[in-house]
Amino acid sequence: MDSGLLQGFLGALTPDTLWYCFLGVLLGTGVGVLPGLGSGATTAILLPLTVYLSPKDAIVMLAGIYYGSMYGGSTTSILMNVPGEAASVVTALDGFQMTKQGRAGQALAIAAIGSFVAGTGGVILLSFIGPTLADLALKFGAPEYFGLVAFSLTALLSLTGGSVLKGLTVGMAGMLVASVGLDPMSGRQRLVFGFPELMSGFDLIPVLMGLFGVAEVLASAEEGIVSIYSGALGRLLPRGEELRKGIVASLRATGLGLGLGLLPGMLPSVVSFISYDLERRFSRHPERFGTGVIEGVAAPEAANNAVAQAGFIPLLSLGIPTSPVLAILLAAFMMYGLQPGPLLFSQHPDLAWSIIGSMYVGNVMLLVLNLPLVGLWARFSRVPYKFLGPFILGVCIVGAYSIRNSMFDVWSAILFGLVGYAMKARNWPAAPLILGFILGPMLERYLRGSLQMSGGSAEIFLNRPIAAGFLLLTVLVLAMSRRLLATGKA
Amino acid sequence: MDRAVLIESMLLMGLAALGLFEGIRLTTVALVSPEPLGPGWYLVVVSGLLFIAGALHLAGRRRSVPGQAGGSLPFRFGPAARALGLLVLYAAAMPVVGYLVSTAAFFALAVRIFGVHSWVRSVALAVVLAALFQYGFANLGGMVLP
Repeated sequence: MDSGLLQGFLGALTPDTLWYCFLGVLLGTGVGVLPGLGSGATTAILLPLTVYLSPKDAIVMLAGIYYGSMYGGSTTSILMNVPGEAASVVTALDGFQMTKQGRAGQALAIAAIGSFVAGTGGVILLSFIGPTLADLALKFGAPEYFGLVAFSLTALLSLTGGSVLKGLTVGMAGMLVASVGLDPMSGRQRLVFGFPELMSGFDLIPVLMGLFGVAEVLASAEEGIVSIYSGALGRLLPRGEELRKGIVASLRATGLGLGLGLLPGMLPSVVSFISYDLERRFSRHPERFGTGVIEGVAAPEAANNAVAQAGFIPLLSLGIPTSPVLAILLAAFMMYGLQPGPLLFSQHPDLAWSIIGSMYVGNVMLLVLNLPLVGLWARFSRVPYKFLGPFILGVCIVGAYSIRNSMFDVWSAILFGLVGYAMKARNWPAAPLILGFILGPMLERYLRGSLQMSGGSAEIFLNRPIAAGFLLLTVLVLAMSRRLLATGKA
Repeated sequence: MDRAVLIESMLLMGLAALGLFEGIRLTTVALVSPEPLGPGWYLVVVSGLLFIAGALHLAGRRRSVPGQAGGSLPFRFGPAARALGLLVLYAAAMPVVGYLVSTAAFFALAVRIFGVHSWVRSVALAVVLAALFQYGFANLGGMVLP
């Protein structure tokens, strides 16, 4: 293994591979910054073009796009409160607050550092215990996923922003909104009421654009702000205690993200919410989350990058893709006549270890690429809002349209912009709606799938230890939060 | 009672009622492939909980001081309303006149709403931004825009 990893680094450090790795992370960062243009679409578009490259260079570049986009999505989240990717929603909660306090540089820097910590952790894990962990992940079926998603919903309690009832209400509204369209299991129309446009349901990105981007601009217009931040910019990099807190939070989130990222279907966005919740629970001052604490940026950013890295473990060791982007990477492998799985390391060790080595190199590149740009990005917060506001609105509209080339998504973004503005005006938190929107369909799918497996008996959740464990954990978290639930205040 | 709280609660309970209606309807529909938990029960449960939450919100505020629940923004529609109205016009115009023209018009008017007073400056900015967006998203990003 040690000689394999060394060979891998040597293979990753060839000029061609370095260049394509750099191109991948650069494209990925750019893709992550632009809302709507997801890493999945970019990877799919570039896949046919990579036929001209060697297998190693092609896969290294496509992988770079994937984890590069995880970092890129945080930039607009932090600077403009417009999440570039669903996984960056949580980053906006504290990241944008830090920008408003003149600490945009520190937020961007800790996002880069956290991503690097997670990326490094992922490569180490992949190198030493990847296949063992991937086997464990295979034990997850519908009941286990149901338990995990139910547990994930407890993260709602961390997003309530002062009123538990409001947070839970918004979360449930999100679950209901996500149900609009065709039921994936039976094909029945739900909440369509004869409008054909509603049959495809609401897409997450336009909802995000509206709830966060459009709403923020409308609120800023109403407040008449001159710029997001008009004072002197403080230190661009975190130091001392702040840096220590950020790194510790990144390490915790890395562990969480690497563990959960092994599970097929586990979305980086879900793990970022869970890590935020976890970090808040660990904190001595949980009430400060949402006001601009560095852990609130470090944890979700590390978590979503860790999930991206961990997804390579089942892909390379078992040939199982855990996300749509990794499925495209699997297609890339097959295009070159390669079969990821246990034999990849024995039949093509140079390729397999080079990919692992390039992931580490790619994470170093992301840090080197983005840290010097922190100062430039931080100045963005001082751009006069009379120019920035319309720009953000334009980005939100085109980002919403680009998902399905549909005007319905543009109208959705505007509608949710109005909803988000009203929620801001009345102190209703927006983040729980997104969590409910993402987790609701998953919860329903796994519940119905589990009950189909058991013929309708709920005992399936008790008979399977992992599922029962997650449900017990959910009950424990709710019990520990009973004071929160009883007083109604977060 | 705070009128805004009443409106909020009515909206929530109205949304929940829609979900309940739809959920109950779906529980009575025969499925091609029967399953223990059909497409309706989830809607019934979530909508039911949402209805209860809406009612609790209404009940909770009956005892509070009017206006206490208000947010930090004065909920009046000034520049925000104009910006929102402009967005609606933009979305309506896009499929008719195309992305480039509608976007240029949008930016020209939007910067005025946000505080640029000179028409010349507004139009110049609008043309540049619209061209950049068209080039960036359509040419470089490969998007098919209206």
